[in-house]
Amino acid sequence: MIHPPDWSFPSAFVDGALADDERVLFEEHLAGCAECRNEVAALRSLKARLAEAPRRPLPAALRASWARRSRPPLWRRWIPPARSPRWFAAGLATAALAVATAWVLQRDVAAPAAIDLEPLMAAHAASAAERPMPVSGFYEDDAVRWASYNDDADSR
Amino acid sequence: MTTLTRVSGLLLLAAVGLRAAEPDGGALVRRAFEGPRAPYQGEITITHWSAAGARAEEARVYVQDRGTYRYEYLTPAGRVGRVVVGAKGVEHLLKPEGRRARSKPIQPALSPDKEWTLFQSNYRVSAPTRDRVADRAVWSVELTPLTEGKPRERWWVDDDAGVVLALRRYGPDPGDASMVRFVRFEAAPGLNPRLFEVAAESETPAADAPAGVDAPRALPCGFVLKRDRRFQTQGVTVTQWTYTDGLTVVSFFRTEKPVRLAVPRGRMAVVQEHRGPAYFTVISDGSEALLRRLCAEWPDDLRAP
Repeated sequence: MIHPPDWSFPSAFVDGALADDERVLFEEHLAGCAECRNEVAALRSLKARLAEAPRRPLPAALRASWARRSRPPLWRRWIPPARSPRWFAAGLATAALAVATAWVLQRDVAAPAAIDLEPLMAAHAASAAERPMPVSGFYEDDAVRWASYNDDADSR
Repeated sequence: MTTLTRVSGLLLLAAVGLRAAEPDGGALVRRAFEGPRAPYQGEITITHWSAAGARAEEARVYVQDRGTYRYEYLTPAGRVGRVVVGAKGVEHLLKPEGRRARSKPIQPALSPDKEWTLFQSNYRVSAPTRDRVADRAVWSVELTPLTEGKPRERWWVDDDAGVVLALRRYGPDPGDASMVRFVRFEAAPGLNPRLFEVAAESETPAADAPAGVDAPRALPCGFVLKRDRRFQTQGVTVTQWTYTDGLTVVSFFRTEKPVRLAVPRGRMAVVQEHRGPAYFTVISDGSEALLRRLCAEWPDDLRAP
């Protein structure tokens, strides 16, 4: 039997913490996996025993101290705990992508837009064509040749 | 005197005579630099080989003198396509599909004497050999650069007309070469002056502005400054400095924006460097190593003169 990749499934299943699709998947797995069934049974038994244990009130000072310690840090209020390593990895990748996108956008704004090479090639070709028998000027691409004229028309 | 001695003497005299009839290679090239001695017309084929493949084109040529010419480029169907006319210091490009023309001034280049001096110090000319081009007797010479990374050329010169009837340029990359060759050439003393006329609707060319900053007058490998100019393209001011060694031309461009290099460049080498607030783009059909060597000598900071 192939077990679910995440071994927190039995515990989460007993606690009722699995998502619907994960729960259905795990229930299908349980039907054919005695090992997991035993694991779930053991966890349920432990949970039941713990529920039956006698309850005594905690000292007030200890309760106040634990309450302080168990208060989540500020960042945890905004970023909920990952439900599994898989979700954590996905979140991390998304964050990295967002940072990279922001960096690229910021760089494009900072760097001047590039200009096309063709008009420069045309200007060079026009200079190189002044020869006893011009080579460059004879067979440049039409686009390049036209560009040389267009640019000169823009000269100032 | 024995018969053998007489025959030997005659052979020697014939050899000396033949040698005397062979022109000096340098003198041939110099005459070609000076331009045609008389008007001519003909038809040329232009072929270019590069990694991208081979391209060919045909053109009819009418030349009155160095600055008065008409090139009619032919379409694959043999009809006249675009036309280039040079006359009175202006070159016009006529669109094939319409009458609208573009024009630009023909820039005064270095004097033939200056160009020849430069050429001599940067190239070696081989001894001429006899050949035929366009059914005419020509002399063929090889022009070999003294510095690595520059293209070499072979010229086929019609000594009587002072015209290069064929020219083959070999790039530093063995896959790059260009060939311009007359397939028909004839003297044309009575060329119709209307060949060099252009409709008045063509635009008046604007004169080039000087660069406005000092650039090196000379660079390594025998290059000297030929011209500087400033023009506008894509909303950006471009400053161009053109250097020549008598045969190979190198252009330095200064822009305040980078230049997008990821385009087909044919046989051209292009190098770009970012220095201070400016981008320098260098273009030539020499090797990239040659351009990087020239770049290394280019000053970081150009000041106004």
